[in-house]
Amino acid sequence: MLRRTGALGRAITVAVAIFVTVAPFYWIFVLSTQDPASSFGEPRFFYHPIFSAFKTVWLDRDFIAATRMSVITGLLTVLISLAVSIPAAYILVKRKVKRRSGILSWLFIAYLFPDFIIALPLYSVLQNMGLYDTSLGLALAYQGFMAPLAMWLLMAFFTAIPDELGQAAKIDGCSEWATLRRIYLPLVRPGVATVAILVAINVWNEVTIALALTSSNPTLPIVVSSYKGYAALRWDQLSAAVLLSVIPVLIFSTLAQKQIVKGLTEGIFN
Amino acid sequence: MRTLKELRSHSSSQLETSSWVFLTPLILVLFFATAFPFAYSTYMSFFNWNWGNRFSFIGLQNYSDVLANQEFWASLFRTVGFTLLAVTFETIIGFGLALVVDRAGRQAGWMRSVLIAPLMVSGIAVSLTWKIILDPTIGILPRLLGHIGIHHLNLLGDPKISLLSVAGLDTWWQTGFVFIILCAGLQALPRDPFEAAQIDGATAWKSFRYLTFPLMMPLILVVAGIRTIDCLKLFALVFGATGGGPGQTTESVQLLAYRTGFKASQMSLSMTMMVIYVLFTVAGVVAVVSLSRRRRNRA
Repeated sequence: MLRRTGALGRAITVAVAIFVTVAPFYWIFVLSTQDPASSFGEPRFFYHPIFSAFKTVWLDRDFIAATRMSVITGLLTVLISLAVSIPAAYILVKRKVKRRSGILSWLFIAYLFPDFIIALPLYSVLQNMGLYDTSLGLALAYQGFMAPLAMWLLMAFFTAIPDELGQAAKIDGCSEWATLRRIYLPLVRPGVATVAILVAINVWNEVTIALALTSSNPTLPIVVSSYKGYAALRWDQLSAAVLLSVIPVLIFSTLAQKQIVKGLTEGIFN
Repeated sequence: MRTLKELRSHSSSQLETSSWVFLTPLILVLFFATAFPFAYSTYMSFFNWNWGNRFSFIGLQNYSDVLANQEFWASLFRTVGFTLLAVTFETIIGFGLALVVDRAGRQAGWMRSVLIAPLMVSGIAVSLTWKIILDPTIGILPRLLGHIGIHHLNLLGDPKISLLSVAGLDTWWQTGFVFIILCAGLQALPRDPFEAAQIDGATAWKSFRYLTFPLMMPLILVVAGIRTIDCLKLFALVFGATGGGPGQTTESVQLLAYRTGFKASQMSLSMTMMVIYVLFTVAGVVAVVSLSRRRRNRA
């Protein structure tokens, strides 16, 4: 009897949690496919959906440009953070490096930094370098948070690979680079994929630094938040803009879920 | 001919130099994106730079201005209050859900997928979604509550509860993070002590109280720590949902710095706020970490 009420309690808990999680997504979808005037009447849950708001947002030039900007910035950020972190993580794990603990605490303190301690100074620095309002400038600024993230994860993945493999390769005359490239990189490829996915999602969703370091080339979240201005009249378009920014990352994260879960847990367990 | 010892020392010094080749790109990038901005902010905090080309040295004026500024302290306490609320909610709910889903057997997979979905969404999308849902005129939640006799509930617009509501938004958004990590933690627990307890006739509550909970505690603290650090950076949620209002009841430190630097054009004052905030957070984290180390050493 007690066991049965326990199971029922658990089922109800999960059902409530799932409802609270899913309902907001569903309601935004409802609003985006209704005439905005009817949003003021009684809420309708079953109706004939219209998709004109999606079309309006999707054909909005700003929205398209921002999507392109977000994709390019994401790719650049992933490339840079992998390029700097793979060799560094490898050497810190596989060899005794002198200032190892100094570098590790630097990574940790970087993670503590609030965004504007980076964004305010880089605003003028990037302008002087001609990188303000560009995806490269953003991708460089993001390294303050993304390089530590990539380092923690990659170090965890490199630690999991036995040292003997590398030692054997070196006895056979492989240089350190060749050992990394030929022996470790193929083995650590799932880890690299995990890092790329997590960094890409983070960049796609980032708001604070993008807001400070772009003006005429904003990323997607910034453009979506600018739809707030017309919200008083066009709830359907605001909702459609929110959904259009969310759907790609939801699809992507469902497909890559194994890597994401692994990435989130791996960095912490080590 | 060189001796073996010479060869060895030669190759080891070669190894040391090549270590730096591997590390240099990371260090350069980190320098550009963290150390240099911090140094630049600290430097500019001694000047009165308001966007123009001219600025002059004013010593500690910015520091005394910030520390005497009521708005700064208010935003600091607000951010800390928000953090305490949000981290408490997320940790309790996340752990509770992890315990429940852990026993769901084959169903656990899809439940996990659904429950971490909000985590994949940007703070702007979260804040706008909830702004629409909670809107006092068209929002679905106030209207549904109206049917059961709760009228004029303005969760984001009422200054008495707005900060609590923002903490609620963060809970919806980030509980999945606590949940998914504690799920993995529960699966990694050793089986033996639980089997032994069962043989000894321990109740479900007792094996939770004396086994699951203490074994999970270190991981819970780590996850709560990570959430604390993230919450102290609060920006996107309030930027999207409330703009810091009503009044300034949800203005976080970072939102105040944004307003000071970009809207009021007081660049070096804003940088001073951030420098002070960094010093506070680093001091706080160092204090917590060393305290917990000392406690662990004593135990």
